[in-house]
Amino acid sequence: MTIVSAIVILMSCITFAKPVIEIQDKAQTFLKNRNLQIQKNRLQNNSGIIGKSFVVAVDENSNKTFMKIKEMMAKSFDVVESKKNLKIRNKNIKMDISNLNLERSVCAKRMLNQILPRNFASQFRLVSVDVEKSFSRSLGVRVEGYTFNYKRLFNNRIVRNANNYLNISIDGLGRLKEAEIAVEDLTTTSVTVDVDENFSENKTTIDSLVGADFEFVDFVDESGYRKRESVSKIEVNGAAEAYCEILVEKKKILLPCLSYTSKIDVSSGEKIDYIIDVPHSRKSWSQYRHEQKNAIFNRYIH
Amino acid sequence: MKKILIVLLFLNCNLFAGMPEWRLPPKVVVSTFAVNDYSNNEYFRQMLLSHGRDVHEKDLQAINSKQVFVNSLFASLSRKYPSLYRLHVYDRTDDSAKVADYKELLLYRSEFVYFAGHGSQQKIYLYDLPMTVSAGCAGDGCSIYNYGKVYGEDTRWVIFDACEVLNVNKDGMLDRELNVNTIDYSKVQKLISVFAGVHAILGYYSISFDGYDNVYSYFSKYFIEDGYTLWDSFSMANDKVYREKRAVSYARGIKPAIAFLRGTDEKGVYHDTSAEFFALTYNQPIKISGNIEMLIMYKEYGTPIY
Repeated sequence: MTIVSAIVILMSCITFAKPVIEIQDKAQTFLKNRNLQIQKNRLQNNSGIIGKSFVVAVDENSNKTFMKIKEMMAKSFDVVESKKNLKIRNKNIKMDISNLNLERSVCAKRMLNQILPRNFASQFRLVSVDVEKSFSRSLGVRVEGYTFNYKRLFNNRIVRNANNYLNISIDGLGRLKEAEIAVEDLTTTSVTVDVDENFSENKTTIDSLVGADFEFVDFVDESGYRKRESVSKIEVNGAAEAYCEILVEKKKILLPCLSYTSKIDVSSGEKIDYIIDVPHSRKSWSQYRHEQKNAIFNRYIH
Repeated sequence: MKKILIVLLFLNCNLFAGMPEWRLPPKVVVSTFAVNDYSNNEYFRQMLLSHGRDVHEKDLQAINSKQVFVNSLFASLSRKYPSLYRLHVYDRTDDSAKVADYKELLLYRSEFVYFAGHGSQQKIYLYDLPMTVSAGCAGDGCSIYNYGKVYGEDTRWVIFDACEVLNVNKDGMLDRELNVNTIDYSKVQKLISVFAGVHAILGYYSISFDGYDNVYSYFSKYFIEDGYTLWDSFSMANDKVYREKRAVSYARGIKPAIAFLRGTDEKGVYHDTSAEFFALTYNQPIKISGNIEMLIMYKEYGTPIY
């Protein structure tokens, strides 16, 4: 009986084993530096509010920012408006992509400044670059185009929802095909949440979210088949201050959070790219969520 | 003077009479095949078992995807071109979507041929058997596993809403980047062999978005109504769903793809069938002639970096 119990306990340990979390140097440096900065500010200002950040509300009844961008873009581009975004075209615009492979972020920034007026360009940050590749017998493999994917920054935080972005598509020679932009009206509220936590708590918070949310992931294996496997390790490679969207009684609220780029190891040994959005600490949102009983975290991945 | 003008006009007419033209297709006939149920496809079942999987582990939503494709396409056509003749001529699902049906029906009279179901490299899985996406073979001596079909005549666009049909990487390297070390030229040749007039084939270099039907409602809107090119329409439709469905982690491996023709034909006419507009499509079959080549192109979504 004892042996049977031991086996059962051992099996449940194996079944519910939490993934190992490894924070790599770049992410670790970011988290430690932000914490140092908060401590420094606190000493300088002697203010309790330093360890807190304001909650942001999405005003879905207003489109002032959207209309302002539209008006500015219409001066130099053909602009097509759809429900939630603007499509921008100008056949005469050519981007310099000569140093794309070596200095991706420099190239992306230059591209941004070529499309958007400076005050709007500073509101976007590159997150990823999609590539179109072709093959033919005579020309071999060629790059046919790129799409630069930017996310909007608000109060220097990446807005992690689906309606604040800029995508710039160019052909293989750098000629603009189309840019698509979406922005919402965002308003900083007077409500705050705690963001003042040390590296150890940041890591523990990821760990607690992973325990609740990442038992399995679906992915495509090297043979191209879709698989569902348990997560064995999460390697966090980068971190950024962000806003995570939650819904409170159907209203969108952006809560300050940390967003991590990571690679997830699944049990078969394959690695998958993943973005994980997590509060700064386990208590960060607790007070807010306690007050807003109907809050639903909209887990947003890319 | 009048005579000269008439002669000039006559010459002018003659000069253009034989010229092909880029225009709206005169009709839009659609043939569709969709398979949800693979319990009768022993070949497919064995293949899954060899990967440690079971045929019943997940129900496909191919028939639903097909219906969304047809509904969206026809809705876009009726909005943009209400007088254009359109017909869903073959609507074959599950046990009416067998290899024999696919082989024998007159698909070449359809502008669009659409298949939804399981796929693998240069193969689509019909209800009973797989069918190669190559010229394959025919007749009594032909193995049933090597049946193929070519696409041409009225057929301008073929859509394989199925996994990996356009993937030409070597075995065991299916998720790798396309380069000279990963490409399998015999698989490229298979795809080339089906181009018998068809302009382009849309599909995936990876798995496809099973059940995420908005791909084709976006595609129809972009291609038929908004005036985007074929590839931009398909690529943008996938982008849109990718961004909407990114909470589904497997979406990160998705690579929408196209096999298309580019080059100058023997008449000196330049083609890039990935860049065709619906309203300005070449009004004839396009054969691989002159310096026209078949290209395979895919889109790979980038790794997010902070």
